[in-house]
Amino acid sequence: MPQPPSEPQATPTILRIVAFLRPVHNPAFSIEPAQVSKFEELPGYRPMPDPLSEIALEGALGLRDSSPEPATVIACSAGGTPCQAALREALACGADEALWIHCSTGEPDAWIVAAHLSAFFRHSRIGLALFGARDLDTGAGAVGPMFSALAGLPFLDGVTGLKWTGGGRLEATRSRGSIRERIRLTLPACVSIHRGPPLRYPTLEGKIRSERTPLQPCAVDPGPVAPSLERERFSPPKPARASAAADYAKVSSLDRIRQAYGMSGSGQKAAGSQVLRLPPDEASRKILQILKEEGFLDPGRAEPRPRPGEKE
Amino acid sequence: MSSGACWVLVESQTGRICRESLEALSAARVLTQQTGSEMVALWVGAESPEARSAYLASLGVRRVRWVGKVADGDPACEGLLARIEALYRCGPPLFFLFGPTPLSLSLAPRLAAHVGAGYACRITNLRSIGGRLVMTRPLVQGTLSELLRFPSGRPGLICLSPRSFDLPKPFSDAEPLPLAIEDTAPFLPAPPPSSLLEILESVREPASRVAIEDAEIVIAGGRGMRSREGFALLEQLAELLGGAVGASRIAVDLGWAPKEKLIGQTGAKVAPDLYIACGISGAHQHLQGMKHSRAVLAINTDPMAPIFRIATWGIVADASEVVREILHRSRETENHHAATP
Repeated sequence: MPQPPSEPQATPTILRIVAFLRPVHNPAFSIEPAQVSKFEELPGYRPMPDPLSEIALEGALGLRDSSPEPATVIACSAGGTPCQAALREALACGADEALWIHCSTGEPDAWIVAAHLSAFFRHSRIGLALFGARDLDTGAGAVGPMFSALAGLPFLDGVTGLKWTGGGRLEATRSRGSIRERIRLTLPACVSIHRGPPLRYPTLEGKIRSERTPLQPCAVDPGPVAPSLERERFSPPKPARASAAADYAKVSSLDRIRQAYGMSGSGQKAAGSQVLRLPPDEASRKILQILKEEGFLDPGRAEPRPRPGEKE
Repeated sequence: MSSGACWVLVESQTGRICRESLEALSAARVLTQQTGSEMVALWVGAESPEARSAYLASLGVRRVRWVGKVADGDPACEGLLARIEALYRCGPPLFFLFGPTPLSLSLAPRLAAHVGAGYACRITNLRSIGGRLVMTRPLVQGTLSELLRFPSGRPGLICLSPRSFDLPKPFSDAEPLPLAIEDTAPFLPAPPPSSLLEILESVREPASRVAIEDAEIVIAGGRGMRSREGFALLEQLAELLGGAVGASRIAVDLGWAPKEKLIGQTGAKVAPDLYIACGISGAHQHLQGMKHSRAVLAINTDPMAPIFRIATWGIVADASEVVREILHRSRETENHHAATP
């Protein structure tokens, strides 16, 4: 006998907090230019989660634990096989779900990742999306803002603290240099975490659950998305500062050899550095000169003083 | 279609151009010289760019477009983003350069996503090879570099790495060309700020209270500051430079500085633009906390101190006396400026 249709029950709304994790290169393994795009294939290689992504995950876990309403934490990563290690660690530390989005277009850049994420979450409601402010490998932190732009979510960067204030709202603390702000957020929103408590330790129960949870990549069709950058080639690192190259050229080959082999003598100082023995008054004059030349003196006034005749 | 221009976002605070924007102008000048494009400054600030027009013209800027300032009560800078996007859609540039300020790092990727432009971040070098721009970016925590370029025909937004380019020096030869200044604000009304984000409080903290991890300049002291009073001089130096004070393990153990100021293996890890080590020998544990600093200025009486191995500039002298002398000189200079009409 067919049962009469039951009354539709109101399902409780669960706040979905998504923390995006990025696997980065493990510095314990040395790497050559030719190995960059396939270093996950190196024997015994294990990438590590990005430290700032971990801070974002801890922020998500803390918000879930203190949420007045039911909440769930989804650890999400997009890319190739290195994502698995990051997601398994997130599960071990207490994330409720792990979501691995497969990017099919080779090595992903921020634009590709953001397009895949926004395509995946287009039909899936997000309460709060948390990103690390930047990643350890490249120092870039573009996925969060790009995702917010594509998903149409308000974006708040530089956040150092989040707490509930009631009514489903959050209060964020943000530091930008010497300016500290308290900002009220109405969800849904996208937040990039600049600083916070470190990720909690994994539990034994979490580790067992993490190992038993199968991780399958989700295929997403972001539509026609072309990479926004083309990689020409890799090269050995260059001095970060343009003028450092000129300084480097001033150091003799002998000093470089001494430095490479850790020998003392004139090789006691780093290449390009100056060590001067000066009395205090001359030393202070020299330091002030350096600070002025490098634009460190007179904060907020990095621009050179107006030239004679120029309007102040 | 590209208009053949190279745009630079120039941020000003109280009428002064911030350092990161100056570095972007410096990079743009190299680029415009190589590509023959025109340099256009997009001025972000409350004050008109009129006062700085001569200086901007001397750097090679041909046009300034004033896009207004970040509106009060708009923490996501959506109004400013909408204005810049409207300008971009009217005629995109060949390249759009940003200094690595918090505002640019937030605006540029969102703008790139809105307009479908390429976006490259933390760029340390730029050059044009065969008519195409090639950019250098550190990779794998700085152990390698990668050379990048935008796909052919796609305009690109470029955010530079901090302190990768020197400050620009004005052209000294000819009279700078006249500069066209355009106030775009009346023509580009900004949308009202999102009601989803609301600023409850905004406080400017004194330099001494800025977290050492966030400070661009860190002045750290060790046993070489000789006493608690000597160490206190570092607070004054921090105020002068707009930095934060840190301490070595021994300075914390001696009670000259609180534990929160400790820099090292068991303390804070900092990577400021400038690290001034005053009376710090540079023990391995301390170096672990500051080795990623962009530039290190070390003052120590021992010429064989390990800190000199990683120092950009090293001064062999008594740190407390040198700091006292620096403060004395800067006060003299301030008094001189105040007395001069």
